[in-house]
Amino acid sequence: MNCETFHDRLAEFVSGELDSAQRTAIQEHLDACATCRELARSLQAAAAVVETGVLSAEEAERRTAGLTLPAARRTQAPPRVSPVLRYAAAILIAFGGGYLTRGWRTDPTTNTPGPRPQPELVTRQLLDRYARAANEYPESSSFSRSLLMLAPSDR
Amino acid sequence: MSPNVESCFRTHRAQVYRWAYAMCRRHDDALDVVQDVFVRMLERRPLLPSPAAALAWLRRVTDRVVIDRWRAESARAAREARHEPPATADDSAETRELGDRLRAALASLSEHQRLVLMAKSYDQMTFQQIAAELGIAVPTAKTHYLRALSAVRERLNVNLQAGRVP
Repeated sequence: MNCETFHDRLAEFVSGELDSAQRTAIQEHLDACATCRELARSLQAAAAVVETGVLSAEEAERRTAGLTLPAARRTQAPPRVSPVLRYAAAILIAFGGGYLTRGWRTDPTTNTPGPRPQPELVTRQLLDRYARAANEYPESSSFSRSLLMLAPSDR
Repeated sequence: MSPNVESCFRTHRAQVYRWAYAMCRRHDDALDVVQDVFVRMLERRPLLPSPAAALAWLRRVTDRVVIDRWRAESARAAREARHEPPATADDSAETRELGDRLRAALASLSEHQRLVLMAKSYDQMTFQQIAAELGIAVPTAKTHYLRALSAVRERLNVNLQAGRVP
């Protein structure tokens, strides 16, 4: 075993996760390498300090035997809004925002107001943009997708 | 109270106390942490389909509750210039000092480093189990463990010969 192999096994060695043959191989390397020996000893000492405060299951059970949850601090869980309602709200907001910001847009070349948008077409476009956002960013939340759906885009 | 939370409290309160006491080294603080953890469970009603999922949730929330308490204590101590919590029967000066130094070391770790150290040192889980629970790679779990121990070693200035803190 060399230092590199030792470092690969260091975590298991310090935590005692190795079998006896693996431990023997590492011990032989530690007998020959002072640097690795010092590293292993210092980490084992740190692990021992961390474990000094660990109580046995029986002692922990004894200390918590009379413990009860305080009634005064109990609170009701906040009401959960179903995903369907959240999507419906997002579409409603998006539709309203899109309708207000995109309707009757003036054509700059002729300086005449554009045609009034059809609500069903706007909704279809927004749903398409939402689906596109979901495809492009599969890890995104529904809120993020709604933002992407509302973001200005030329596509 | 949800029967689920009630049975979870009965089954795991001692385990949560073990974790909290190992981090805080103070009996009263550990009891407070147990109560805070289960109050959070009552408030949030997490979906915990298996005992392993419940333990993983409890370990993570215990860690957060302890860290939140430390931050609140630090802020209070900064306001009051000096904050000395009342000592209890098992809180000797040596235990308190070790607890304070260990607390500083644990507080300096990332959440994953602390969770790996807790699972390894307090519950003797394998790196494979820890990696599966946290959704990380096994080598990453080992790296977190070694970095956590290195931080503890540096903060506590561990004496190599005796394996004790000076």
